[in-house]
Amino acid sequence: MPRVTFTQTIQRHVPCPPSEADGRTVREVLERVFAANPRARDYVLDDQGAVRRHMVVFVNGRQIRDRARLSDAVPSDGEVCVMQALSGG
Amino acid sequence: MSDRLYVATRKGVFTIERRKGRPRARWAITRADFLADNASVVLPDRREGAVYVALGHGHFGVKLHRSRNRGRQWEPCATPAYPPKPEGIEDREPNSGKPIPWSTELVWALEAGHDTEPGTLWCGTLPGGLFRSQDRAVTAQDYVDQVVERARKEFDVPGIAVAIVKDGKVVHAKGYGVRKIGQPAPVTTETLFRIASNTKAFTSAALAILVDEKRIAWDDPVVQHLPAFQMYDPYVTREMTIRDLLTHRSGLGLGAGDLMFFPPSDLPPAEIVRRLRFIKPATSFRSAYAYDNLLYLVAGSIIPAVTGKNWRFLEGAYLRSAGNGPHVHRYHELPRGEKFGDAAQQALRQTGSANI
Repeated sequence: MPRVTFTQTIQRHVPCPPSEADGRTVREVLERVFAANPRARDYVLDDQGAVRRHMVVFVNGRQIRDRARLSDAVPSDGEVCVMQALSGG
Repeated sequence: MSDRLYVATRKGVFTIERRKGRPRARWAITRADFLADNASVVLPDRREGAVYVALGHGHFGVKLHRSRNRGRQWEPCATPAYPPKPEGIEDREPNSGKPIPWSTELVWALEAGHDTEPGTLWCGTLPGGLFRSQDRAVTAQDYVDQVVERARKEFDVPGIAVAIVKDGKVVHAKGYGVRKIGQPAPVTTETLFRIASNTKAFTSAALAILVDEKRIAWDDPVVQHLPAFQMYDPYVTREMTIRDLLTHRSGLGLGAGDLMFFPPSDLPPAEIVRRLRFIKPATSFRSAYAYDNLLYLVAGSIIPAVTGKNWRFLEGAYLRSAGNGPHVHRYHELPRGEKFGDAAQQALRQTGSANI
């Protein structure tokens, strides 16, 4: 089953322990995680369900391409990592 | 004149006060909340004494919080959110031509409604929108989550599953926390729990169904249905009713005979019931309350005696109507150890040592 982790920064606002969630796409996997932790959803996704502008999602170390519908595939042993984007200088 | 100011800054919310009734006293910062968070607006709601704060997290979006005790504790509220954008709509700023996101990016105004409308809040956002809440920005979901999380911390348990049923419908079903301390697997709506003495309610409900069906009566003598039933005192054996079995006033002492089945033993239930006759009472019959487990085993034995079915009778009666999830009925059938699957594990906190 895909494994989902969140970086430390989000934990200050809403606890997001690492978990396992079934699904073939990033959308399916994350919605399953958020079903058990609805507050976390608003921290990662915007009002339209897209990845927030300054958040990024990686699957097995590669940034996902479809930030609006999260249709990127997740292998059954995949690692989904949700983190905040770093920018600026 | 007011003696308290709330100041929202890009680096947090500050409470600034001066001592009451001393107009010449100096103002001093008495609280700092949400340090390092960008607070766009703060609203003291004079109608109810609550304080609302809108935060704009760079990464995590806009969030609303409320305190009902001047900042000592904060709870999350519902944040104004745009509805799903219909397909095919082009929404662009007229001057720049940039697309307008249907997602709240900033709360720049927060106002309390009129005094006659306690609980009403108005909220101005970017992109341009005016939101109104008539329930203090509390959503039912938030409220239930807060109550459960508070209880989970209060009772120091790793995980809880909650279902709320209203008018025969499940209106809320959710797991909170984890199945086992130190492991990430979350409690879900499917997680199995050892429900221990909550099973007494199922035994009582099963008997109540039989009372409704007029197959037994609460004041039937136990021996009428279980002729072999025997207590230490022949008078008690004769007089004990089904009602007595369920009300912890048999004369047995607190937890009398519990060691026959806990820790789990290989004594069959019929044998445990048979050995009741050797347990001396602690008080006279019906004179005192003492929590008891064994007589619920007797009460459970009445169900197969009357129906001819084993006590899984309940499955047919109403557990089925609660859905076809995995019901596991007996302590020994619950998965344990390394392969605990979706079952919550016992959490015992060691607080000292005991010699037994």
